[in-house]
Amino acid sequence: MGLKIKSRTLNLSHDIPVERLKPYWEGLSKGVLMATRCETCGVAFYPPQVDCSQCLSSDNIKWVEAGETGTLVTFTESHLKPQGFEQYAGNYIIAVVETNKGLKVAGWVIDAAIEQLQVGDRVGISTAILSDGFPSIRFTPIKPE
Amino acid sequence: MPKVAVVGVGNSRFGRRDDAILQEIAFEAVREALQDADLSQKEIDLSVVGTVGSRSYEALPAGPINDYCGFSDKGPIRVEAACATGSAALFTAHNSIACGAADTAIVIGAEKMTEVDIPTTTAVGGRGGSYLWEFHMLGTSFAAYYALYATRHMSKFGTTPEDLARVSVKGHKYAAMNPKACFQKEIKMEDALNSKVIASPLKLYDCCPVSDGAAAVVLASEDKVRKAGLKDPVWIDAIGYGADTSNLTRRSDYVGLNASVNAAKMAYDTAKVGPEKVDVATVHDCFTIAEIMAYEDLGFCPKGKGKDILRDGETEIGGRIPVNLDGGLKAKGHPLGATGVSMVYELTKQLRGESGKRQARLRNNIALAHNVGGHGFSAYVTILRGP
Repeated sequence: MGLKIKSRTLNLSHDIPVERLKPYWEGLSKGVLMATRCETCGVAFYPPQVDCSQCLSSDNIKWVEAGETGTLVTFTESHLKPQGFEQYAGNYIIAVVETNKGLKVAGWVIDAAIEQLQVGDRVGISTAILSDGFPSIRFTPIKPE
Repeated sequence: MPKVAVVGVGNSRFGRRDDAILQEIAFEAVREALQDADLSQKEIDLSVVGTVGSRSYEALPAGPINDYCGFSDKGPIRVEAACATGSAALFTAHNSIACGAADTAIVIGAEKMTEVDIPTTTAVGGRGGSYLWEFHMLGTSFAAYYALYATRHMSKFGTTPEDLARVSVKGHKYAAMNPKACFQKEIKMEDALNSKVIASPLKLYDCCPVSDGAAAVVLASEDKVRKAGLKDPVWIDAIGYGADTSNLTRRSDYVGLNASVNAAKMAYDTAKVGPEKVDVATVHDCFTIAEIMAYEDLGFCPKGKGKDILRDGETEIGGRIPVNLDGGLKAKGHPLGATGVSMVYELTKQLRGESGKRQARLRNNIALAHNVGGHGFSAYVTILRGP
């Protein structure tokens, strides 16, 4: 190993202005996952956006619920902890779910082991604020009756 | 469109390069490319630097790279397209020549990724989708993004962990024959299958290494090739491009990359060839599942059959369409900005018949490079024709 020197530290921490997306971020703390829909052309957006990229209108955007249940489209258990996620114990399961409203959303599967999961499984969708203040989208497996 | 040729290629050693800073590694590739082309800096009109740079202490790395390599008066542009940065830089330089804005250009792809720690590099990569809706809440990594594709592909088509391991074994086999590759040893199926899980179902040996490295190619117009008598030109017959959503949840499915399909269609149409004419290819195997999906997306086989042509050895030397004979991203390494340029380095050597024991048999003199940006939000497919 040859000579190395330390760089000057650069800390990047952003204050993100999400005022226009307030219903989404408020929904996360109330347990409801929100999306938007353009009433002019009918296109639904998840993630939500307040301008319609299809008809270029921003006048008729309505906030709608993204769904309360859905099916697992795909999932992975991450054994990596990127910077900013070191505080969470254990691995976490990232999944994409197709909701009962026909939108695809991404979140964490909770209350399940990776071995128990299969593509197509039904899940309930909820949200929560974690102890460190960050929001979380949660999928909980629904056991077949 | 006026014809553009690759007239010189260079490639640094890939891997963990604790021995050098970014511009020194770029220089290794630039010197080799200039010497290969038998041209000096003063005969190059334009330098296009491809570097992602988000792990660098240099906020704007192109300037220092150009200075160090003798192109301080030739480098007005830095190009970024995530992991497809190298191909985007090639596209930019190619188009500059094709439209007559330059007669000659150098494309320098360079990346230093190992100077920050693993949680930091994981976080930078994990922010490669759409931050607010993905990394912020999910803690994505790049492995996790491709793992989501792997789970779906395996569920739908019966692709197995052994199939993923086969890609890794193949990559290591050829990397061991490539002195510029990161990994210099072969591995066995068990090594791959028994390696630790990174993002299920992807294990350590399913993932390309975090790497440093550089590659450079010199391009010239047909006119310049003729007038300067440049040797063994490899012609760029097409550069097709495609794109898809940055938000993963806005994709229709997770078993292939629409960006690749569209880029390939454009490239085949422009070059007026089909996949059956391709003698040798480099595909974007940042994770093993990506190579299997690439076979399908590029039309080497129907969707879902990637595992079958892999099992049958069709993508090995002697097979129907040898793929990643340089070791691929998986085993050669994947320094983001360098990768697409390094693919052209490899295929130029192949088309000139200079690849030694890794040489593919040339029937049609056609090679294909496939380079994906991010988790599939961009892709470039380049078709090259030998001298």
